[in-house]
Amino acid sequence: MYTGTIAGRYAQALLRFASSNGEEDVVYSQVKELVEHFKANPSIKKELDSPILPAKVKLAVLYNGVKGDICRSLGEFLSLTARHGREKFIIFMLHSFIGMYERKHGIASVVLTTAVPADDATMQGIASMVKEKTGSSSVRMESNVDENLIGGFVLRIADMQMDASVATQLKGLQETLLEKL
Amino acid sequence: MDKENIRPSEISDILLAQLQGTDLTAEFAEVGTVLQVSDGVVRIYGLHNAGAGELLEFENGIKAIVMNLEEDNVGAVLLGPTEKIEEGDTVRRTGRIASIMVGEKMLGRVINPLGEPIDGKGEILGEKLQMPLERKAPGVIYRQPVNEPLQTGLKVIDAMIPIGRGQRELIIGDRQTGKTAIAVDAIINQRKRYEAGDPIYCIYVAVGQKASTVASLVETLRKHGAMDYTVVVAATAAESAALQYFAPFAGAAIGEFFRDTGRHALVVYDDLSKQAVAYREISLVLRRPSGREAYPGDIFYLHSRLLERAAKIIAREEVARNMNDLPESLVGKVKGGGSLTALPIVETQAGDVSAYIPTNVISITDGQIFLDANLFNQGNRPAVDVGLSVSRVGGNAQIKSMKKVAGTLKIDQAQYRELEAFSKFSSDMDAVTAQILDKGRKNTRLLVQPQFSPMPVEKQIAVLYCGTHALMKEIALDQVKQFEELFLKRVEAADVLDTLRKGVINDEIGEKLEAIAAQIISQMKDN
Repeated sequence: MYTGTIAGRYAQALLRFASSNGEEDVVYSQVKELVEHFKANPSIKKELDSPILPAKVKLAVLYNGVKGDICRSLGEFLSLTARHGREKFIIFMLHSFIGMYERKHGIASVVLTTAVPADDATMQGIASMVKEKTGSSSVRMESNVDENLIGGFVLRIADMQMDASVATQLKGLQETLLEKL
Repeated sequence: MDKENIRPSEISDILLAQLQGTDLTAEFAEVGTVLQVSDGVVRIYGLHNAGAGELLEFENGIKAIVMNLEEDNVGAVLLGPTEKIEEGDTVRRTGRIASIMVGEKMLGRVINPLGEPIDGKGEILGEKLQMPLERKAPGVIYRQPVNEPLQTGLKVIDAMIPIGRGQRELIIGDRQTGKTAIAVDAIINQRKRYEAGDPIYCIYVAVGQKASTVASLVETLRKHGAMDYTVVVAATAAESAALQYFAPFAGAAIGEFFRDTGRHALVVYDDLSKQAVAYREISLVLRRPSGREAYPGDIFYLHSRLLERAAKIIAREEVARNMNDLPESLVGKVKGGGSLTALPIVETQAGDVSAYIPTNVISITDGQIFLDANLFNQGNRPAVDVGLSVSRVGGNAQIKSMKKVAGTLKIDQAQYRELEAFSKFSSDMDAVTAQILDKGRKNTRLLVQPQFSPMPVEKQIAVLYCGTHALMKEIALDQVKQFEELFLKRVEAADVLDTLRKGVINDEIGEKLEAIAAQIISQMKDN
């Protein structure tokens, strides 16, 4: 019931703490790494939820998700959540933090998924288009390749997504035909 | 032969027309990321603009419905298997609220709460309208008081606890007391109206029941020809709590389709205590604060908003057309005078009607039919406890002849029950008391009715006339059934049933009925 509220408060505190330490950008990139780490290893959630594992082990699991040394701000923050017994909300806090950071700095994070690798010109073209349309001060581009799309692309800008893939169009066509036949 | 061959051009034309109707344009949709999956409930980060009750769609086609709107995240219940959703999955808004496609061809089918057929008879064809699962009940100006009867075919109910079209009448009792049997009999009794071309469409909603029970119920309905005008919505015990929670809403949405198009429908929710349990499960997983018996605070609203949708719509079409919260699909199709009658069922534990869910639903509905395990075991079936059962509005809808004949039956039976309790203490009693007891016992026996044999209202009136006028005082208790059979045969031959059906009862008819009864009694005595 209060998941969002708890996560929001902790994320806000992290943003202000990181900013006062001059580590905002480092924390942002490490938080993104952590989110990817969570995505790649869904079992982490179980470990964090476990009432048996000591805080030390839980923190070690999280530190593993960051390449290189964890920065001071994020390290302190994770210890604080462990001390408060809020480990199971960490994933929500990390997502809230990313949202807050991007809003604060006017960053549009863009993910382009295509069936074949997109060339640089396309990426730059999309970046400038997004910049113009959203009025963001900077655009963070990321590209993925997914052969299952067959053709076309899936473009995600923050929490908006356009699915112009051939696979989705075929699926839509199939549904329409099934409905009408 | 030529007619049977399909011409290629025909297929191409049809396909072309359909392809032209397909929307292939891509648009931006709001998406979120799944952060937590647990027991049929997901927590999604993002979807800041999602609305309560909105339908969400995952990449693999599984759907979910938004239940909790929180800061930065939403809680949604899954309408598909939990194991197919993983943390990190993308989910998008559809902009639609959860709904079901309803059409005439749904009659005779068994469907799940999403409108998908589960009876193995293929797709449901024909024109379908999109009806929202959650919809506000019609406001006061779009309603009219209950004024038409809904005959259940059961003497004890039609005489003493009459149900009107648009009424909500609760069927309540312990396990194995014949709750479902009453509802099924009421559905079977609509067969004659269906044949006469003035049907009352029936919707039976099975919540959290065994799949085998649902299968045998469908078979029973089919055997009695009741599936022709019935839709069965089933969310069996094996389905997710979300589907069990939505099943009654799906039933109400189908009922509203008939109600708002000027027709009559009857919906049976079997049963709401299981729906309450499913809703409790969802609420607890969503971490909503729990209250009494761990039910969430809005458990009353869950049932009240569902049962308010049963209504008798005003006959004036120009008013009905402007009904509140009309779904887009129904615009231009609304007709006045339709009705949706609800028969919710609630199971009690050891006859405790003062438990949480029973008291809630009793206070919401327009009366209750209370079934008693002791009466059931004594062989009084349907085991209706006349003293605790009541119909608050149905009396207005009762046909005049029935009202006149059975008017005193309820009070007579209550008096008999009271005297019977006292008579157990004393051995000698005065003649008046003995007479009341004898009449009461015979009336009780007269109200016994076998399952799946609903009786037309005119026959009920004729039979009950004998009971309330003490025409059976000269026969023994165990001869009552035989008397009833002979009497009904003789009455069919006499020219009285048509008049009784029209609601007319006068001295002439009374005399005729009394003469037939006297004849049969003397015949029985001779034998």
